[in-house]
Amino acid sequence: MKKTVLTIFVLVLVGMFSTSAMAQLKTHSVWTNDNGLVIVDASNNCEYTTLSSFDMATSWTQPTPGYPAQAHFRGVSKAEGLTHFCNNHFYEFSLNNSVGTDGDTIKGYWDVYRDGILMCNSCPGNAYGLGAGVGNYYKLIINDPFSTTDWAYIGYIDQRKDF
Amino acid sequence: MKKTVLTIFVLVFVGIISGSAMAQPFTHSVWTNNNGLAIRDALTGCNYNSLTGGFSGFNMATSWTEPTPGTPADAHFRGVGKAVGFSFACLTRTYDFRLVASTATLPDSITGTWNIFRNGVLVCAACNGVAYNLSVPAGVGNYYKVYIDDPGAGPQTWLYSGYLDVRKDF
Repeated sequence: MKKTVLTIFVLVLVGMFSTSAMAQLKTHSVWTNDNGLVIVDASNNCEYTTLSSFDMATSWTQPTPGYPAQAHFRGVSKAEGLTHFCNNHFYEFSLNNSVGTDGDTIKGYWDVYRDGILMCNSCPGNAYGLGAGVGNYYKLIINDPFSTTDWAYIGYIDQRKDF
Repeated sequence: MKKTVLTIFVLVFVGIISGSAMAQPFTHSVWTNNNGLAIRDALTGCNYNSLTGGFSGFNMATSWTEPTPGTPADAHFRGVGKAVGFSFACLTRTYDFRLVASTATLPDSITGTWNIFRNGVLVCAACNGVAYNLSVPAGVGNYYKVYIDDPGAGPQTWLYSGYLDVRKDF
């Protein structure tokens, strides 16, 4: 009898723990500290790999949709180009609105600025690879309705926090 | 003549630099790594801090871009603290403070509406509040505070306060 009561007690306890673990949302934050890989400009079809500065800060809470402040993402980089057509530009990629997140991905609508000018206005795109460990890279790929090329912002994960 | 031209050139150059600096939005991100200071529960009146048992877990991650309002995703903030309590009235509880929507951001503060969960139960829905002192240097014992108004208990009756352990600004 005692054993049965104890077993039931343990089962209830385990049940409570696993329920609270399931109900627990996950928050993530990732930073890139001047450590970029590639930028692709969908407007001029230039691919930049010489990036004299490249920073990014994002944080998000799963799952989305829930409320507007579920995710924030902004990346800023100075790309260096040597040709006349693909010359130096300052790029800024900002999340406008998130429609879905998981441990690895932020799906939403993005604004892309080049030299302070809005080049892609609330364009659909995904940032993915964000769940990887430090030293790996993530990709932000944005569809431009006026181009056959996608915008890309690809950088390394230098610091991360998850809880 | 040469000097005047040079002066004009320098002035124009400074103008361009300051112009672009002004137009440039700024992004900030701050983390607390298991380093809490205080939580106040507006409904129970319980204050949790190092004198009452401290925290068995206290984390926070925020990032935001000035200025708000601009886009819905200008700011994200979530803090989760497991407050340890010994008295019957103020038991051990997990608090979850989440920004619902931001109405204004500055280098130092995020103003908006917030959801507060206690042990997974929503106890304050879309309540007005502000996180401030977010611009101070990290890693030297500085702390931020989130004050949230409770519709029943009164203004600034919820509190989530922790240390700034790491920060990034660009």
